[in-house]
This record gives sequence, C-alpha cells and structure tokens, in this order.
Amino acid sequence: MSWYIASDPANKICVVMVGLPGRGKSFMTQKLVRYMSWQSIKAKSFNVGSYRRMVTLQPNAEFFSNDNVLGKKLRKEAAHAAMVDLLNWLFEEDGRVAVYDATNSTRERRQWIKETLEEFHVHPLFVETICDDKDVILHTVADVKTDSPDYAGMDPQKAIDDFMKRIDAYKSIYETISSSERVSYVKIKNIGTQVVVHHIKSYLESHIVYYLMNLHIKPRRLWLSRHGESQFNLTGQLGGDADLTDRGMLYAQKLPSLLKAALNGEDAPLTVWTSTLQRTQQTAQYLPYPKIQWKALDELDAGVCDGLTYEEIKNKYPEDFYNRDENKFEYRYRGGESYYDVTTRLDPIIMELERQENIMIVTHQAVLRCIYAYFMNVPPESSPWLDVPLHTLICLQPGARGTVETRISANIPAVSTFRSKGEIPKANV
Amino acid sequence: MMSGHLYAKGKMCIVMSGLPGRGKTNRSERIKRYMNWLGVKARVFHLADYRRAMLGPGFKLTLEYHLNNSPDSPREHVKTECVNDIMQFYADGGEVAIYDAINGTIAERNSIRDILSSKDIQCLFVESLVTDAAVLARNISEVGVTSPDYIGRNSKESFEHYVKYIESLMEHYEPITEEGLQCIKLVNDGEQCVVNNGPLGYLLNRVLMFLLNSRRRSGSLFFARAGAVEFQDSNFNGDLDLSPRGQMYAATLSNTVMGYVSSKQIDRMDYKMDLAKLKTVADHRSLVFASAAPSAVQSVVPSVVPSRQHSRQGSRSHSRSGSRRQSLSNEPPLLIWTSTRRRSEQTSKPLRDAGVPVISKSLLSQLNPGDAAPYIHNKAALMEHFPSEYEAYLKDQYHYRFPRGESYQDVAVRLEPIMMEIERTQTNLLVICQESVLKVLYGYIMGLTSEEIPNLEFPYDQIVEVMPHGYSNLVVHIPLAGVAPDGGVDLPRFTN
Repeated sequence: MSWYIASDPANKICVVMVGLPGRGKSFMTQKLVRYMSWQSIKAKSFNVGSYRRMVTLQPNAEFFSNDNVLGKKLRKEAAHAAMVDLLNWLFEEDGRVAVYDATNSTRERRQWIKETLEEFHVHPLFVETICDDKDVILHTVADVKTDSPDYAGMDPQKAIDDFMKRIDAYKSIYETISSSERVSYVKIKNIGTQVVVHHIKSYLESHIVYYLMNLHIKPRRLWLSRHGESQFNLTGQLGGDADLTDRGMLYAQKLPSLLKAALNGEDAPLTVWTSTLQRTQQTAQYLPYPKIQWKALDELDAGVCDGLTYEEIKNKYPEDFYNRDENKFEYRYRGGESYYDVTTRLDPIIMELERQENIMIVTHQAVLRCIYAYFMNVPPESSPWLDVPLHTLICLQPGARGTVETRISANIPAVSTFRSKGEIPKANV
Repeated sequence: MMSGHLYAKGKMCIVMSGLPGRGKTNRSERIKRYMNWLGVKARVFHLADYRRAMLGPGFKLTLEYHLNNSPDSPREHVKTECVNDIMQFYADGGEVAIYDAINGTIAERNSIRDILSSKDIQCLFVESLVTDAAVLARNISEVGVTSPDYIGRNSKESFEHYVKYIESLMEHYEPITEEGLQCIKLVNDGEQCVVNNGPLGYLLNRVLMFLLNSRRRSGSLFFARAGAVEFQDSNFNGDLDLSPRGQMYAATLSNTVMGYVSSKQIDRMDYKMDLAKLKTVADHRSLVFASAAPSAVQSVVPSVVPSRQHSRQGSRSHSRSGSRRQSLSNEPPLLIWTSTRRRSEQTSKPLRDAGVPVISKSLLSQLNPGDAAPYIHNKAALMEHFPSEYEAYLKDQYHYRFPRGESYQDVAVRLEPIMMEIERTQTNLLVICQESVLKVLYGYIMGLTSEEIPNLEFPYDQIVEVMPHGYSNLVVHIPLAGVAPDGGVDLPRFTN
C-alpha cells in the first residue's frame, strides 16, 4: 500500500541524522518513523547510542572526548553494528526508510556512511539540525536528564552538567555538512526558522523534508473528543448528518467546564476544529474559543451503507460485511471510503497539527481513530478497532520520546458504538 | 466559523524576485499550474505583459526605465496597473496571486509587502538565483526563442543585447536580506533551496515541496495508449496479452516514436552562447545565504564558497561539476514509463528491444471502475445495472466514483508522485498507459479543468506530444500510419 507516496519501491532511503547532542535528533527520528509508518511506509530507526550502551551503560563526558582512544573505538564499533543491522533490515525485511540516528559529526564519518550505503544502492539523505537558540537547547537538555537511559537514576543537575560537557567534547570536532561532500542534505536551523535543502533526489525525500520542516518542540496539548451522542448513535445507523440526543446536548454543555478543569488555570491560546457535520458543531457550540471547520474531519464515508445499521448491512451486503471485518483498514465501502482513504485525506490535518500548538478537535469515531493512531503509533491493522468511547475527553501531550495520554470521562451516559470483529450491535431504542 | 476546506485557506501572494534570465516567469507558470491542480484559485501577473500592453511592443527596455521610480514614471504606472489587478483578483475571490517581476530593491519589496499586508494577505517571496552559467544559457535560449521582447531576434545580436541588459541591472539588484521576510531562495533551477523565516504554513509548504521537485523541462512528453487486447477486458483484474492488432500497433508506435525523436531538434537559439561572458552576469554564491540573521550566515556560508571547496577537493570537484553540466545536454534521448499491466509493457516491447530504457510503474494503473467494470464499455448495460450511479456519474464525471471504484480525482491524487517525477524529468518521456491515466496526466500538464479532463480523448491513431515552449506548452499530434482510431478496447471509456 505504500504506493501512495513511494512510487518506486526499489528505491530505499537512509535518513542520516547529523548534529550535536541535544539538538533534537532523536525527537525528529522518532516522529519521522511514526509518520512514515502511519502512511504505511515501512520505516525504522537505528540509534547508535543504544548500541554503544550495550558495552558502556552510563559513561561520563570523558568517554566522548576526542582523545579517549578506547571511547573512540567503542563508539566506532557501535556505529558499525548499527549500520549492519540497518542494512539487514532494509534488505531482509524489505524496509523502505531507515533512519540512522547518531551525531555523525565529522566529514570522515559521513563519507564512510555515504560510501557504505551507496555500495548497496541505498540513497543517503543527511538531515542536520543546527541550533544556537539557548532556550531550545535547554529544553532538549532538560528532556535528556529525565528521559535518557545514560542518566537514569542520576542527580538531575549532575546529569545536565555532564551532558553539557559531552556537547563540548563533540563541538571541538564538529564539522557542518558542506556541499562539497556531494550528498543530498537538508539543514534545519532553529526548528525550521531557516532551512537549506541541497540536491534532493526523489519525491519521497522531498516529502520527508517537508514533514521535518513542520515540526516544532514547543510544549502543547492536543484535546480530542467525539461529538456527543447523536440520534444515529441511538438507532445504530452509520453516517448521516443527525442532531445530538438530549444526552449528547448535555455533553456539549458540560464540555467547556470539563476542558477548563483539565487546563487547570493554563490560559495558552486554544483553537477548536470541527468537521462540517451538524453533530460536531453542536458539540462544540459552547466552547469559548475560535473555531474552524474542516471538510477533512468529516466521518468516514460509508457510501451506499450510509444511514444503514450494521444488521441491515449484513443482510443487504453480507459479503461486504465480512470482507470489511477481514481487513478493516483497507476495506472501502461501496461508493465510500476505507480507513486508508481517511488516513490519506487526514495528511494535511496532521501537518497542520504539527505546526500548531494547543488544538481541540471535535470529530467522529473513524477520524479520531486515525488521528489517535498517528500520535500513539498504533499500526494500521489495529487502529480501526480502537475503543474511543462517547462523552470522553482525551488529552494527548506529545513529548520528546512519545505521547502521554489522559482520558477524562464526562460521566454522562451514552450508547457504546464500539463493535468487536464479527459482532452485530443491536439498536439502542 | 471559518468555512471548511481541506486546509485553512487564506489569501496569499507569491512575489517573485530575481534578475532577468533567472527563470522567474517559467517558475511562476509552473506554480500556478500546481496550485490549480490542488484546487486553489491561482493566477500569474507578469509585470512584463503589462509593460508591453501599456507601452507598446516598440518600447525599448533600458536601465533608465527600471531606475526611474518617480510616481509618474512609465514603470510606476505599469506597476500600479498590475498591482491594482492583483487586488481586484482577490476581491473577485482569487486565492493565490503570483506576482512575476524583478522586485530587485528593498524599497520595492517593502512597498508591495505593505500593500498586501494592509489587506491581510500573506506574502511569500521566492527569489530565483542562478550561479551556473550553463543554467543561465538554457534560460536565455528559451527567452530568445519565445519572449515577445526578442521574437525574431534569434541571434548573436539579441544575445548580446540581453546579456548587456542583465549586466546593467546587476549592480542595482539588492538580494533579499530583509529581516523577518518569509522567503525561499532557489538556486540553479532547484539544485539548492534556502527557506528563511519558516515554517511557512500548509499551502506554502506544499509549494515549497513542489519547487523542490520541479525542474525546467527540456524534452517533450509523449502520450500513447496501451495497445488493444484479445478480448473485452471486463474483469478489472484481468491482465490480458496484446492481440495481433495490438502488436501491430506496438510496432508502428515504436517506429514512429524512434523516427520522430531522432529527427527532432530542440528549438534553441542558433547562436552559441559564450559561457564565460554569461558567468559575469550570474549571481554570486554568497547571495544564496544572504540573510538577516548573522549567525545563520556564519554557520553555512564557509562551506559553500567555491574557492574553499576547490582547495579542499582539488581537481576532483572540478571534474564532477563538469560532468553534471554536461548531463544537461547529454541525457538519453528517450525514456519510457508504462503501467504494470501486460498490455502496457507489451506495447513498449519493440521500443525496449530497440534499447530505449523502459520503467514500469504501478501508480500508472488505470482508473479502477469498481463494481461497474463489467459494464463500463456498454452504456446500456451500465444504465441497467447502475441506473442511479450512472446518472450521478454524468452529473460530475471528475469526482464521481462507482461503487468500490476510483474517481478521476482519486486517480489524480494518487498520481501526485508521478507528477512530481515528471516535473523532475529532463529528457523526452513517453508514457504508455490506459486512457484514464493519460487524461489526468495531460490535464495536469496543460492546466485543464475538472470538467474538461473526463471528456478528453486519446484515439489510438496518434501520439500526443507536449513540448515545452518557453513559458507554455505546445501540443503536437503525431499520426500513427495504418492504425484505426478505435485500435481496441480500453477502460473506462464510454462509446456514447
């Protein structure tokens, strides 16, 4: 299915990160792999640091000094081991985009990477992150002290001091990428404030560059909610443009206070996004924030099954009913959409979400599942089966090493629209 | 509430900037075509067109014309007229205007930015720079052939006049260095690209991605149908071999294409341009990273100053850059893309046997008619089995999808990577596939509307050539001798 973006599957890419420690390389790596996987492009990261940790668990800054002969040798061995695994994965497991995550701070190291990859006809795309904004560096460093296995259990201040020393050790030998290295590269300075792109070779590479340019690391929260219970939820009908039930309206009324309590006094600007359908707009109507409607947030189009119940579908289109459960992600309703189609049309929403800060999205079950799958790294075979109950506010807080989720129930009764594989839910009236 | 679109739309202006010969006009047209394909209402405003219209074709371009910026100078009049039209375009519901002019001074750029921001119109500057004399030569040859200012002056004289004109403007050109200006600098037809004060926002990022892929074409695009198959291909998944008739078609196609391409001369300026002379009117590398943020300049400039690069790399880098330059003119004369269907691949076989590189791409698969596939060639059967669907299809042929099938729009969306690759391709390219895909690709290249695309026809008895011609395209129909227009059955085509 990766054909949508990746037109030539023989074309394998290795994204090679370049940058001093604390420049957000792992952050970008993690997000890029997640984004590619969400787009059904097989991607994986190879972090040289984790190979190095197999031999030295918690080395101090001295280990990273250019004069430390043993340190240099061990780091080089780790670089080789990661590269071997990366190539094996690309060819044995038919990977498409590998990310080689390390400082790769010298020209010599990069030449070795380039020559090794080109020998296997893998195209290297170097991604250098440059940062001279103190706040941004401190932000990343603060993450490191809490998250990095190198400093687990260590006194936070000591960890930061040691990490700053490690950065200095790399700084002394650091060489920024030059066009004379004859490689495709992108330099991202201060998180997209300035970007230099050099000799991009393919559409997929340009798509990767485009995605990385949209990222920012400002702290933010994303609020997700389905619309309140609708008339169609009660009758078990799909699609449509029905109004909310009384209980659904109750949820709409309660939503502002629910959100306010969760915000806990924080007054950062927030924007509400809804679909173009009545039930999401009715749900969002009391939220005291600017609102934008997006066509792309409309519910999965059930085509000829729009307005039918699952039972009716099973009777009218029995083959379709079973086919859909066999491969729910790829199944496309007659004249309608599949989850994969929805994922595709949500791409602009994801890009825009990456650029924005605090957003509250009021949308529909299938759409919410796809958005949730992106942030929580849920594979396509599971995302259509996620349980996202009505009358529940979900808070996602993206961080350097993954997204933290909180669910807040409004304690307003509603029907369950969750359906397990093969099940035919009964109407609730 | 703001109305729902695929993305948050707002009004935007893309302001081109750069000396003559930098490819601004061509680039403006390409951006417009891509925007229209995305469904954005975009239009290009070429300042030169306004000058020609207002001052007449006999008006002589001089430095004086460019430098005189008193309020009642001819150029100011022309500019005012053009900018008024841009504002009118927004008032009429236009979304993205592309303002194609030199915009070579800080004062000029500030003035257009002030006008636009007073109306809440987001402004992106796209500066085109050329440091490579060979790229400049290519751009100039195009101007020489097609610019209304130089028509009929395809000679040493017009070349020298043009170079002199650029030279006279050079010392007055102020590269974009203004603080806080959102700008993309593009060097040598997309070889390098610098973005200042990003991120740009969704739509402009799309434009950026397009610009990263888009190259000036020099070869032609040829479109041909895949040959006829033995039986009516009612099952979409059926993958049949070419019929004897289809094989004859393939042979004729091969002979015709080979003969045509080898005899074809790219319409270039006769005069052999002096690259050393052109080097003097090329942009200096240091302009590329000129930026308001001094730290940014420090971190990137040293690595690209040519002298340092050469001293480090020695003769190696010279020979490399030499070979790249050569590749501009020494491309393979023809490349072929087919779909992965047997009939497409078999249609390309005679060409493959003749040594032409053939690449098959699964993305080029025909429009999937879904459940309507068995009846797609038979209007009566289709109306019988899908009466309401057929009616809906007739109302909006571009967006309608039959149950379980694809619409033309679906095909266009999945073809985006192919379009980007076409944008990258420099050589002659022949695309052999089913009609539905040809319609969408041709529609994109020619900037056609969603009403026009489904009604295009590609009969078997001709190859359609789309030739880049200066700022636009020329279409040539090359007849295939001895082939009937209905060379076979194809999906999905209604024989109304």
